[in-house]
Amino acid sequence: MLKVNGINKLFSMLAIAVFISSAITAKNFEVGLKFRFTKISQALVLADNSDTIYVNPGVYSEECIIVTKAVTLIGKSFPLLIGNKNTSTMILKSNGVTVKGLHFKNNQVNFIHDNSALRLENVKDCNIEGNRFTENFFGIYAAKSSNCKIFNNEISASNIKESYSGNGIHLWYCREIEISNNKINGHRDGIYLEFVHKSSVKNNFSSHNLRYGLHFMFSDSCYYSNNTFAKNGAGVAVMYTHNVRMTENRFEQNWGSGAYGLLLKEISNSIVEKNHFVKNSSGIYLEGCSKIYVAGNNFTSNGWAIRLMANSMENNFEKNNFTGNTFDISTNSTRNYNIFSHNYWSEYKGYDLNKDGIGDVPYHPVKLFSIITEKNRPTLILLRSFFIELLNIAENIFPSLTPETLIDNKPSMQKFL
Amino acid sequence: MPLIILVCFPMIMASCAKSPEPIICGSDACENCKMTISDPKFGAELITGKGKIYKFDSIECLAAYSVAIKAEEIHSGWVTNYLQPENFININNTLFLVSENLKSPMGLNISAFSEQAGIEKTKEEFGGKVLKWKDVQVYVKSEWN
Repeated sequence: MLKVNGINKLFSMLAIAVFISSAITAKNFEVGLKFRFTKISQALVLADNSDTIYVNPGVYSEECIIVTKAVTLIGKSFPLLIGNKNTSTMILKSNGVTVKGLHFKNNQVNFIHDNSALRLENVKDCNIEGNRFTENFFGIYAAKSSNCKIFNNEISASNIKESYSGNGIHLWYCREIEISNNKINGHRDGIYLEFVHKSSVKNNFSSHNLRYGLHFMFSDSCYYSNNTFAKNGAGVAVMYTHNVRMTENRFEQNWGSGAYGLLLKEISNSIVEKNHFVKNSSGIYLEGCSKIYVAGNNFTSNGWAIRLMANSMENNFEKNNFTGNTFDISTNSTRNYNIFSHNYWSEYKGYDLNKDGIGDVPYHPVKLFSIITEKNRPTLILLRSFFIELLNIAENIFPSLTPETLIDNKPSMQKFL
Repeated sequence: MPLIILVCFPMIMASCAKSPEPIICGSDACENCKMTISDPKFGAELITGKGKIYKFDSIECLAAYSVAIKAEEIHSGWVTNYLQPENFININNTLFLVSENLKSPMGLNISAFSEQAGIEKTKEEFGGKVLKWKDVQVYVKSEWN
């Protein structure tokens, strides 16, 4: 018994010794004007895996910092890293790197190398946390990376021309990336995902970007929730993808002829649930979409709440609130293969005699005029004219051009809370 | 009177000329994918027999759109020169480069060049393979279906 205990003790002591020695070998480095290392790259040469480099306040103007070891870089009161013209400011080439509390500034335009303030190249398990990025071409650019976290960063730029502006957070061929609690404004696209899988975008605030607040392409099995996308040049675009979940986001004030709260193009098997669409030119625009479940959303004060193009089918619109939109639904087709049921329509003028909360008369959300404007946009000038109202009423009584089956047979009398 | 006709006629003719018009980045939208066009290096246009001009954000969008409509509706197709984005080239006189290192807006990485020397130099730097318009259409069709 005693012997076993002794062996156990020996093992535990050994374990402690190993732990302590590794703790001792993990070194700390200080970088700054008054320290041994005045440049981050000098400290990186001597650092080993799991070491920590503290960057003291100051201005660092270095030629491309390449991180090839699993170190932790921590900035004290946001030391400034000034970018350059030909390369990215910092490139991570090792797994397990943490970058925290740095301020990246002025990385310049370079189209061929897609200059970025911070670039992740083929890495895993990296954390990009609580940094600031101002006036960079691209902010964070991750290529062929996986299992990384990008959170609590503030990213802003103030370019006026789209072609001279890169994206705030740009992911290309990545997997399992978590993007959360970032604030992004003034870039071309706030967040851009191309060929990305199983990633999440949560609690971000993306506004005043020149093109899209969020731009998804060829990225399946991703989800985004609780984000706010406001006042972006063209709203949010989700394209050529399947299995996307979009829940509890806010899409606000995206105005313009080519601006959409949410542009869905060639999307299938996806969920759009509990989102708010407020004051957009078009709340949701669907083209070539199928099997999308759109439920529990609020469409408030939009030009068009939903624009459903002819080639979209088997989509399900349920229990949404349509309040005060100029047009609730618009389409360019006289046929319909989508289902609308149990929605609340503020324009609904029917009655509920049996008091079951469901209107007794079906609701036709497509007005004749919305079909005309879909085919010929300049006719919009006639909106609210007497003649158009007359046309709408006539069409309502004898539907001829509006899709007969695009009706809500069970409109809700009460707004959903 | 004859003088006016003489002066006006060429003007009217000129206004009907089927040539591409400049793409306004940040405001024009792609006819195929509906995205706002943002990169002048990869722009493209299609002019129909009736003179209507459709704009595209990438060469792959033009290719996809052109195979989807009837061939007789198309008057001409134009792409912007990668090396001089302000110049359009007719697709029939264009050499296309597919290179993973020259990322285009829609992910198929096709860029356009007007002359042999330019494309050779770019290919040397970035790698890839050279295609003609017909091959581009086949490539896009196979990738996107």
